[in-house]
Amino acid sequence: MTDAKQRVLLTGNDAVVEGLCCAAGDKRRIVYAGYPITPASEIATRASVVLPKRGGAFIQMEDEIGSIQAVAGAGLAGAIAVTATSGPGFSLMSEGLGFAAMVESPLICVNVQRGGPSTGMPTWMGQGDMMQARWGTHGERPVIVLVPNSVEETLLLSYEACMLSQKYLMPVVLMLDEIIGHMEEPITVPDLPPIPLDQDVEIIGDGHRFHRTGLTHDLENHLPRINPQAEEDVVRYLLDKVKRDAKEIVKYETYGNPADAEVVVVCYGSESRAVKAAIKQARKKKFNVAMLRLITAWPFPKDFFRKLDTKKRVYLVAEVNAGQMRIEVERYIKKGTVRRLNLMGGRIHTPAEILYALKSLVTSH
Amino acid sequence: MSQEVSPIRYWNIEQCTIPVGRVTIIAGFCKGGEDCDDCIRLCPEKVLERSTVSNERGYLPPVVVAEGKCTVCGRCQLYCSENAIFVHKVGERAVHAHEIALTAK
Amino acid sequence: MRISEHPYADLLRIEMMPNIWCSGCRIGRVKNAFIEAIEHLGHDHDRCTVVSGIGCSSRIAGYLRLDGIHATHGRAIPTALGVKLANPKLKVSVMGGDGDILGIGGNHFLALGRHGYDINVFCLNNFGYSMTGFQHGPTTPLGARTITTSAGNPYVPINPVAVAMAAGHTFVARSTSSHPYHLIDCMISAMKNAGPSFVEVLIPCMLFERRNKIKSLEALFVEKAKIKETMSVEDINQDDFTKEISLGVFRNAPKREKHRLSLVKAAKKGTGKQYHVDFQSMTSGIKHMQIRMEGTGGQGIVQGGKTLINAAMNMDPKLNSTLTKKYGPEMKGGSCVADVLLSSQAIDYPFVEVPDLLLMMSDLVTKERGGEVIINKNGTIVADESMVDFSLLDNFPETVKVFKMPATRIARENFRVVVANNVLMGFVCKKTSVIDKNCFKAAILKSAPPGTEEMNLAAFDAGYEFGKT
Repeated sequence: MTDAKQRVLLTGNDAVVEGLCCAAGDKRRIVYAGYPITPASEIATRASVVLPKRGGAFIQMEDEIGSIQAVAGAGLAGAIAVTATSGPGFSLMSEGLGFAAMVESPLICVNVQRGGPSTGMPTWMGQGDMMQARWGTHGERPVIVLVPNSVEETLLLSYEACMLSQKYLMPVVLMLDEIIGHMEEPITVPDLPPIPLDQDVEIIGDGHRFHRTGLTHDLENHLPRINPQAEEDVVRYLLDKVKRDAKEIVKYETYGNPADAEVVVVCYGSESRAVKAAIKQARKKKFNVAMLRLITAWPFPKDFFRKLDTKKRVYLVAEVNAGQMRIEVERYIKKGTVRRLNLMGGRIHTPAEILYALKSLVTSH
Repeated sequence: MSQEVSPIRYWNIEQCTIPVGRVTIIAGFCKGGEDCDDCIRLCPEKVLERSTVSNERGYLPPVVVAEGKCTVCGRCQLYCSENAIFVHKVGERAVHAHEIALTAK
Repeated sequence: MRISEHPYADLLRIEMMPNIWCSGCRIGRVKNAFIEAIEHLGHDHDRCTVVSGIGCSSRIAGYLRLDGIHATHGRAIPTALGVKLANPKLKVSVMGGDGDILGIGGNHFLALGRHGYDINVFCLNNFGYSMTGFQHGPTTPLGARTITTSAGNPYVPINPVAVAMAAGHTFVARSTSSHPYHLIDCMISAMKNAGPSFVEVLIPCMLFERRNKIKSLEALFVEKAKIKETMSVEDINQDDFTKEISLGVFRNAPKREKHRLSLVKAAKKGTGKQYHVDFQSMTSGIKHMQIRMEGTGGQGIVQGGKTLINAAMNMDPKLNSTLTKKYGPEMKGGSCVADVLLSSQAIDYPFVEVPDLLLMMSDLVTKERGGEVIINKNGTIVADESMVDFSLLDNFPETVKVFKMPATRIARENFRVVVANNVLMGFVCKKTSVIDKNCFKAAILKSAPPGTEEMNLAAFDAGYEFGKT
């Protein structure tokens, strides 16, 4: 990576580490704690080589619960803390993510999704963790989930995840899937400015001597305060962090003109690549269709859908699960109809399959 | 501990003096009574006794009955789970021979 | 006088007090001993961190005015490890109960001994889960009554000291809250030790006393405990604290003894011949090309895909490309596919739909699909003679070029069978002439394991020569 202009071949998993290195620059310490799991192991492999050379720390923990807790601790101590896992490990991390949100530890959790439930299909993709990423923790916590669809975007979003976690002091989840994680693409590593440690944020060892607890606490001094009012204050404060700035955080990509289109295909992750290929073909056939790709699955771009919902049209939610994000789209679509196109996992739709579905939905051709 | 406590706990052999302490009891913190009488039981100089007046939570904190006998050994302070008792050195006094005699009672 | 004049005041979080422990609980003494130990060592208060989990003893972290984390149940040790990794200068201690550290967090406790980071674990053993009403825990004595073992605990308790010794903690000691001066000594030694330290602190729990009709555990500890200078195996193996309790240091090793397995050889650096292949980049003229390499896991299918995409990148750096792989969880023997797409445009769908070039190292994938071979009508198929059933390759229009070549045999006879993929690459390079020979060779060098460069290149050349015939 000496010549920034040169294109290098990276997998999505490699790009995660590269993005974090961009965020860390020369000054910040990256702490990676993880547990091997297909298809996220390559992130650990690269981290174990790259991080010690840059003055960071790599540790392979005893399990995913330990991993998420270690990065929560490292985040509180001012490091860029990251862990990577896949479905089964992500389930184990649920409690730790809630803890990190409660103690306001900035961390990045990468979930390279595979087919589930349980052990499922370790080497084949899935997108079945979208709702788990939103609701996986008991109680309520703020959630930011980023879903890249290419190697280059994985690098940019892992940088972005770092920035968001530092800004809002909360865990940010980067949801890859097996295809993006293992796919190799040539990319140009961009010159991104390092993300400095916010001087206003108290960290362990800087003399503030703060106490961070997973108990409901006072927002001023962080000491336990357990009563209904304190719970009201804490949970509202935590949720407001994302709610307040949702407009700035939300990112999506459109292809074609959704406001005008007869059918809008909603998709995210690797599935969106098949959708884009299909939409390109469909538009050549003069189908009035468009694509919306979620880049932040959570917070959900609800304003976009509310604005779009002015007339009757079809929203086709194409995803590799039983229709998780369709539920969310349905919440904001009142005039249009929401249809779904699902696979349970292992592969994404082929462009031909999506085109076939579009043909049955488009009337004006 | 804002100061080095350890040296003041010990007798000054050369001058034959012994530290004199003042015991402070924070009655509100104390959970003494049936279950805990550590400070009273463990005080080598028998400075403390059980109070007959309970604190606001119903516990019976100790009271100082032998003012001036405390030698700042710090035992009550270390043993008290609740940090409801602590000692400060306020001065020194000469040691009398009978105090250190092995047969002293 | 007020509490702020308490000699411990700088380290007590006074606003949290009075504390929540039961009357007669001696957990607070452990906190006092910890304060004394820190003061004795003269540690900078701002650089000390206490991490705790959930439970009665874990509340200690909240009453200490130090940087502290009150983590989730059982996860104090990994959280502390994260803090230590983020800032190795910090003095990190863990306060937890027996259920927290040896029960739910047992795995983390074992792993800490192996990882060897300087973290001091103080395990306050009260023989059960007292915050939830006293259920039995990992250290509850055999026969003891708790609210979940009302007829007596049927499970044999674990021995915390023995576990810590076996796990590799470099400092292991036992003390009780009834011996605070001894406890201070243990804590000081633990903090001085450079590796993971473990101190078991027996504490009396009122709930345990009441349920088991023990008058005073505190008195029992004082009566039965013996502070020993040296410890024997019998001291480690004590299993009845009502008979005898040996207090003291079981192990104080300066550093973990490390035995390297004699099989493992230290990695050699900078030895071996350096290989280099010059290549020239040029416009390849590829508009859109779909290449599929398929075979059995272990034949180097993914490696072959990497060679292809790297060679294409060497040839034409402006080309867009993707490499995707499909394989099972097993390292060898399963079906395996590598898809390489090369395009002058942005690539959307990253899988091969209809291959222009199909490289069949074996017919496993095709047979799993039902025997149908999909190929572009102007496409090329290169199949390994010994591994592919040729009856599959019969019915193609004449525009499809089918090459059969003995990649596996050439590799087995001349080199090793693992380089068969490169033999095939050489053949493909000669027959298709899409990508320059030297671009291929540079790509092979990039991914070949150190020491095998020569063999891999020779395998490529052998395939290339075979292609000339």
